[in-house]
This record gives sequence, C-alpha cells and structure tokens, in this order.
Amino acid sequence: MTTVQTPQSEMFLTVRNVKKQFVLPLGLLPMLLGHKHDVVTAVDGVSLEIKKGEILGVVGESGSGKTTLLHCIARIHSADSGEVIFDGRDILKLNKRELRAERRKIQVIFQDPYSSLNPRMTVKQMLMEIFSVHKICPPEERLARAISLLETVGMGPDALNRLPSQFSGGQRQRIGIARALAMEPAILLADEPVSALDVSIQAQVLNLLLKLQRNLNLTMLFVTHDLRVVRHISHRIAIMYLGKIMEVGPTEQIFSNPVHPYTHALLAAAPELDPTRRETKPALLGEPPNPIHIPPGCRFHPRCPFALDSCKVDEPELLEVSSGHLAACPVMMIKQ
Amino acid sequence: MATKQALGNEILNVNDLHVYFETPRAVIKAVDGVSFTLRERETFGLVGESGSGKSVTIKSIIRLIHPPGRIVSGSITFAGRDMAKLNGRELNRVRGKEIAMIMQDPMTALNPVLRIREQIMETLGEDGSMKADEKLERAVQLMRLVGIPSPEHSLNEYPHQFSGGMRQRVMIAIALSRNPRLMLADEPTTAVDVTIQDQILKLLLDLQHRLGMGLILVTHDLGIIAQTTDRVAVMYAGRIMEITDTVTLFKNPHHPYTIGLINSIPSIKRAHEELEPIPGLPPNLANIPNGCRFHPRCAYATEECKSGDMPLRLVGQAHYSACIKDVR
Repeated sequence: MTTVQTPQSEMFLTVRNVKKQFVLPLGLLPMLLGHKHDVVTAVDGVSLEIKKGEILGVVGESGSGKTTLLHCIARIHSADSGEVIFDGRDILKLNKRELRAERRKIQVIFQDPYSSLNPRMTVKQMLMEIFSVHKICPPEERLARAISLLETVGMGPDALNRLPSQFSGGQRQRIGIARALAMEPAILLADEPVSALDVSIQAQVLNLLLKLQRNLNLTMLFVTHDLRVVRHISHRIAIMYLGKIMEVGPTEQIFSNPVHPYTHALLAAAPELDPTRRETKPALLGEPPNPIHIPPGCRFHPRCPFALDSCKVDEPELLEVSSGHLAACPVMMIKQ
Repeated sequence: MATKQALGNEILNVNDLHVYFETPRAVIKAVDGVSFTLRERETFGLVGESGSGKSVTIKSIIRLIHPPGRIVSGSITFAGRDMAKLNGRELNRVRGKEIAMIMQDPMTALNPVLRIREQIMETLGEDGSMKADEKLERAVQLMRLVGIPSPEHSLNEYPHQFSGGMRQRVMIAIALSRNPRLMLADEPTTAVDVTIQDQILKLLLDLQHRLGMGLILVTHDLGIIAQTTDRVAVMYAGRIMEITDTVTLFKNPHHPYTIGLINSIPSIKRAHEELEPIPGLPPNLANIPNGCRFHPRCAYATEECKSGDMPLRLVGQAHYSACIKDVR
C-alpha cells in the first residue's frame, strides 16, 4: 500500500482552489428592514490531488465542508470558483451535454442508500436503465452484466427482482455501490458510505470497498467523520475544518506524526478501544464557530491551545512538513 | 480509573425482563430475558447494534414503554421498590427525582417553544419546596455545573439557539436538577461530533463522580464503552450475550459475538488490515432462531447450539457468557 511519488502527469483528479458559499434565505421582515442575507462559507479555497488507484480520505466534523466539496466535484452543487481538472478538462466549466458524458466517469455513493435509490424500481430495472441511458453494453449482454455486478458486491442474482425496501441497510449500500460501478466509473466519490450501518455490517462494506479498489484499481474520494474508518481505508488523508484543509498527507504520517493541533485533538477525542488507557480531560474545548462568521487569521485559533497573537491575524498556508505531508500551522512547524 | 470511589450497595436489580411489542401481525420480542444489577456510583454500559434491545431495556427501568410495547414479565427493583408495581403518582416521584434520563436527540426532548429557564424551573418546581428566586439561583448553578457559558443569559434562550452539544448539556442540567441517584443515558452523544462527544462524555463522568450517581450508558460504540464504563453487558437480539468488567471484555472476550464485534471495528492503531466482519444479518425479532440466537452467524456453531436455552454461565471471575463453548 505504498503511495509512490507520482509525476504530475499521473494526477488523476486535481482540485484547485475550490470555493462554495451558500446564501441563506431572508424572511420578509428582515428584507424590508434592509438586512443583508447571511452567507455560509462551506468550502473556502480547497486544493487536492488524487492519484490513479488511490483512496483519499477527507475527514472533518459537521460544517467542515467535506460533503460540499464532494458535491462540487460531482457538480451536484456548482462551485463559486476554482477548478476541478479531470481527464485534462475542467469539469466545472463543462456544458450540460459534456457534463453528462463526464458524469458517468465520476460516480457518487451516498450516505443513506435508502433515499438515494428509487423505491419503486427493482434492482434489475435500475441497472437496465443505467445501461440503456449510457449505452454501456450490448442489450443481449446486459442481464449477464447485471448479475456479475451483483456478484462483485457480494450479492446473488435473486436480488434482481427485489425493491430497495426489501433489503437491509448494508445490502442497500451494496446495491448503491453496484449502481455506481454499473457506469464503469473512473472515480468513486463516497459520502459517508458506512455511517448509517451497524459495525458488523460496516466492516462487510469496508472490506468490499477495499477489495474493489485492489481488484479494479479504483480511485476513490472517501468523505467521513470517522477516524477509524478513514485510517482503515485511505492511502492519504486530508483533514478539513470550517471549509479549509488543515493538514494533508499519507495516512501513516497523519496518524504517527500529526502536526496540526486540530489533527491532534481529533485523534485524541476518538474513543480508544483500550479501557486501561483513559483521559479525564477533554481533547478540545469549545465548539466550532458558526460558518457564517469564520474567525479571522487561522480559523482554528479560538479553540487552539497553542494559539499566538499572530494566529489571530495571519491566515496560515499549507506548508510542507515532509514529502507529501502538509500542515497549515506555522507555530507547530517551528516546534517540530 | 484510579480515582474512582469504591462502589456502594446494589441499587438496581433487573431480573428476567421481557418486553414485547405486540402487533396484529407479529410479536416483536425486543427484550427477551435480560437480567443485570447495578451498584451505587457504578458506570454500567449496555452495548449492542440496532435492534439488540439496549434502549428498550433502559426505558423499561422508568417504564417509558408505550403500547404496543409491554413489559410482559420480569422485575425491576430500584432501591428496594418494584418499579413494575408503582402507581402513576409513585412513578412520577421516582422519575426525575431518583432516576433521571437523557436521550439521544436533545432537540426532540426539549420543548421548542419554552425558554431554557422555564424548562429547568419546571423540573425544580415539581416538589413545590423552592421559592422562585431559589429556583433561579439553582438553575444558574446547574447551567454552570454543565459548562454552559454565561448562564444568566443562556437561560433566556430557546433550544434552537443552542448547538447540539449545548443542548445536550442543557438536558444533563435538567436531569441533574433534582439530584438523582441514577442517571440513564441513551446514546447521549450519537448526534454530536467527535470533539463534542468527547467533552460531553467527560462531563458526564466528572459529574457522576462528583455527585456520586449510578450511570447506565447505552451505546452502539465499543470505543465509548472502553473509555467510560466499569462493567458492560453486550446485547444481541434481545438478550445479554456477555457481561463482565470492561477491562476483561476487551482483553479476554468470551462470546463469539463480542469477539466478532471487536474484530469488526477498524483499529485506530493498525491500517489496511482486512477486517473480520460478522457474516449475515441480525435476526428478525418476530422470528428469533432456536437455541443460541447468534448461531446462524457464528463461525463456531455446531448442532448443540441450535436448540435449548442458552443461559449466561460463569466463565471467569464475575464474567458471564451465554456461549456453551470456549472458543477463545
């Protein structure tokens, strides 16, 4: 599982300085009183690269912008600015027709497989529709293809004639994965794909995703709030806080040599499976600020135990700690 | 754990509890023969996946089971009284004052149209012994106790003006308002982020320690169990599969289900290892397998696991397991 330094040309998907804000609706009275709309900054200038065959994990708490980032890449939301280079083209600039062709290659697995599957379509109808809309394989081979897809995700052909409601949560997520794979995508964007599942089922789905990555050399962006899951599945990890990347690097580096105080806090706050090692003090005080009012300087400074006066003014850039490992904290970089 | 006070006498005894949900089509056996005890100041964990009956079990303690659910049999003895035999008024006296409960989602547990002040003072006023200014003073004190900044100001706010973490702190303040001896917490941090979860759990443990309460914590997260509890029961399909002290559970688990659960969790320490998931799905509670209810998913199951009752048996010091084999 080594991630060899690849030359620039092998970057599979490059995200450059993507920004996305949401303007909140305003009631009639505040509008008449001349109040301004509140603006939520969800993604605030994120740059990332994903290599071919790599699983990049994006971790963050609610409001970190991890899901919005994924939605911008999939063009579920349109980003306000920035670039997403895939196949040598900026997907954010594609027109509708071009987008449809490109979208087939970029598939999303959603958190809740139930609300992302059509409740009135059997698995067979769903897969057949995909094949015919995207002209994926010759009509006479489609049924065999559907059965082999189900087999890939560990399900038998008896699933074909069933509706989403007739499956358990874990099975539905497998159907969701089969649907994404039906398009023969080049990259999978997975948005908390195992968060709704019980641990014993979660492990089955994680194993499946790892197997697919190995066997099909799939490239994957994996968004989650769960550090255990992200460590298990990702080659590299990006940690987001209030719309920005705080630290990014190879998984082992992030866990063995975390630099950013927020990364430290996240690791310390995740409950360890060892009852003989307990800490009585919370890892991090305070709560994330409202993304309508992002703090100036380093956005983490109000909660940071190491913040200096300069942190309240200067917005830190991502700086290289070691090869491929970057952190947005000049204070801790000096301490290293 | 070193600072933990010595545990006191037994305050709660749940014996052979059965809670069924009876619908015209089927009888769902949500809790099907659960027994455990709790001592004063003890932190006890109930862990299990969805449908294991953990929530229904603690709700039964203060009889928060609504039709079609029904406590079919079994006894729940709290401080010498059988909870099943209390009438409405006696039950209300126990709820809140002696046993308090915090729920998973504070937004649905708090009244959205009342200020926090009214909601805390309402609980304080229940026994009628406090004057208005005393109640206000106590409310401020409680808000401070649970770490809510500028309590005088926060008391005048509505639940929606608080974050998820702060709402859960308000719930804890309300639960503590009448100095309960036992606190029941049903997935208290499932709805909040990990750094906030960490704060809430540590707050709960600190308060429990300072106020000398018993605490029963229901969760699906073995990490939370490892970090907070003294003793733990692992539930599956309405039954306790294993019950022991927390250190033993992680160091020396006995039941194949417990072992499977622990092996299903990706470690924060090791990466990219194949997980060993439990195959299959939990059973339908209207149609529970005969014999050991885990046998269809168990790698060690043999003929003898498919029939008969599988009671908890002693497998170590105060360590009980419902598995007839010694697979470890």
